[in-house]
Amino acid sequence: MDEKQEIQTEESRTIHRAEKVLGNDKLDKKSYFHDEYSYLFKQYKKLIKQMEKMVKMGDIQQQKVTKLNQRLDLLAKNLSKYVSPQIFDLMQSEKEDIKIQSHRTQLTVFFSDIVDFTSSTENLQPEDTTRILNEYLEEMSQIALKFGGTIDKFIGDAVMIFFGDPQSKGMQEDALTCVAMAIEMQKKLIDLRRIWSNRGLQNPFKVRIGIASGYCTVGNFGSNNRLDYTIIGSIVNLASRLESSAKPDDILVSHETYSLIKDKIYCEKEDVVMVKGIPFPVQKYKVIDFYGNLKVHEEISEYFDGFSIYVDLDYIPQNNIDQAISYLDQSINALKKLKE
Amino acid sequence: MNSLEIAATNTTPEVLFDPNMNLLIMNGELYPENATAFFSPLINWLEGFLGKKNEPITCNINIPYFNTSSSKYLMHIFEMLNRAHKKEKKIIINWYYEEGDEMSMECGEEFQEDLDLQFELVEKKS
Repeated sequence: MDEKQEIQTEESRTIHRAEKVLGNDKLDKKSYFHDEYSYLFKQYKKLIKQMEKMVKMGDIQQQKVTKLNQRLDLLAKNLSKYVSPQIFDLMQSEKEDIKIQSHRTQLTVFFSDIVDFTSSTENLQPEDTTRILNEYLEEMSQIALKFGGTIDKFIGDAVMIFFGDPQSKGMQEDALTCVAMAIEMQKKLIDLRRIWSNRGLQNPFKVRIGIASGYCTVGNFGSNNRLDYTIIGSIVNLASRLESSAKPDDILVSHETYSLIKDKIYCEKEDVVMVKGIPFPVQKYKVIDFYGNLKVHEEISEYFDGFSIYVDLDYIPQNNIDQAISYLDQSINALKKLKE
Repeated sequence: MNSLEIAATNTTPEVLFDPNMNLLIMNGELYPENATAFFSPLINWLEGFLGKKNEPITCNINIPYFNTSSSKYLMHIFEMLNRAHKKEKKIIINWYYEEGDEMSMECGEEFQEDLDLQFELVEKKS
C-alpha cells in the first residue's frame, strides 16, 4: 500500500466498488441511471484527484513556511547578538514598523574604557589581542546583562551602557544598579588580570569607568533605512568625560549619581572637573564599595551629613599612619571647638 | 472589454488581465483571508474574456507561495483555460519559479499533470 492509498483508503474502496457496479454485465448501460451514475462517478474521481493534489501542494507550501520560519529564527538569533536584549525584545513586540522617534527620560549612563589598551597588548599577536578583548567584552556584557543594563554600543575597547530605558526601576534604583554593576566589573577584572598574566600578558590592562545620571533623549536615531536605538544629551557627554578623567581601576560618578547612591555606597569626594559643553565645574566622586562590603575588612567607616570617615586598617601604608592620626587630631579639635 | 488590474497586497499578488494583449499575469504571494472574494472577479472576467475572443492567450504566473484554498481556485482557472484549449483556442501557461525553488517547481508539475494545454515550467535565474 503506497502513501496515497494509505491516506485515502476509504475513497479508493469507494472508487473500486463503483467501478465494479458500473462494469456489471447485468446493468443496462443505456439507461438514464447508468449515465447519471457514470457522471457522478467521474466527478467523484476528479474531486478525489483534486483533493490529493491540494493535500500534496498544501504539504509542499507548509514545508516552505517551515523552512522560512527556520531561517527567520536563525536571523533573529544572529540579530540578537548585535543588539541589547531589551532592544531585541522591544523590536519583537513591535507590531508596526519601527519609526524615528524619541523621548526624554531620566537615565544613568555608564562609560568604560581600557587604559592604554594598545601598549598593554603590544607584545601580543593580533589574534591573541582580539581574543583577550573579546573575553573582556564578553565578561563585561554578561555582568551588564545580569544587572539589566541596556548595552548601547561597543566603541573599540570602550563600552557604553545605560539604565532606565526601555525598563526602569526608578531613578534611584537604576543608579544603584548601574554603580553596583561597575563595582562588579572592576572586581571581575582582578580575576581576569590574573588569568591574562598567566597567559603571558605582561601588563594586564586596567579599566576606568565614568557614570552620570540625569535627563537624556532616548530613542531611534538615524534614517528610515538605518536606525540606532541610542541616547543623546549632556549626561552622555558628562559620563564620558568622567570616565576619561578617572584613574585606572577607578569608578567616578557625577554629583547627581552620588546623591542617588550615597546611602548605600561609600564614595570619596574628588576635585571638580571642567566638562566640555557644561558651563560650570562638575563635582566628581570616586566609588569605593557598598557600606556592607567595606565592613568585612579591618576598617572604620561611618557616614552622615557633614561627616564621613573611612579608615582601612588592612590597606593604609605604615608611613601614612602618622599623617592619618594628625588629620584625625585636627578633626577632633575642630569638632570640640564647634561644640563649645 | 476592460482590462482587470488589481494591485498587490501583503497576501495577494498583482493581477493584470489585459484583453488587448491577450495576456494574463499574476505576480506575488497568494494567501488571502477570503479566497472566494479574491478569485470571484478574476473568474468572472475570465469567463467573459474566453467567451468573446479566439486569439492566442499567454498566462504568466509567478506565485512563489499560495495557500490551500487558493490552490483550489488556481486549479479552477487552469481548468477553464484547459476547456477553452479543447475548443481549439491556443493557450500557453508559463509557471515561473525562482532558481533552486524546487517546491514551486513541484507545484507547477502538479498543475501541469492534468492539463492538455501548453504548460511551461520556467526557472527564473537570480
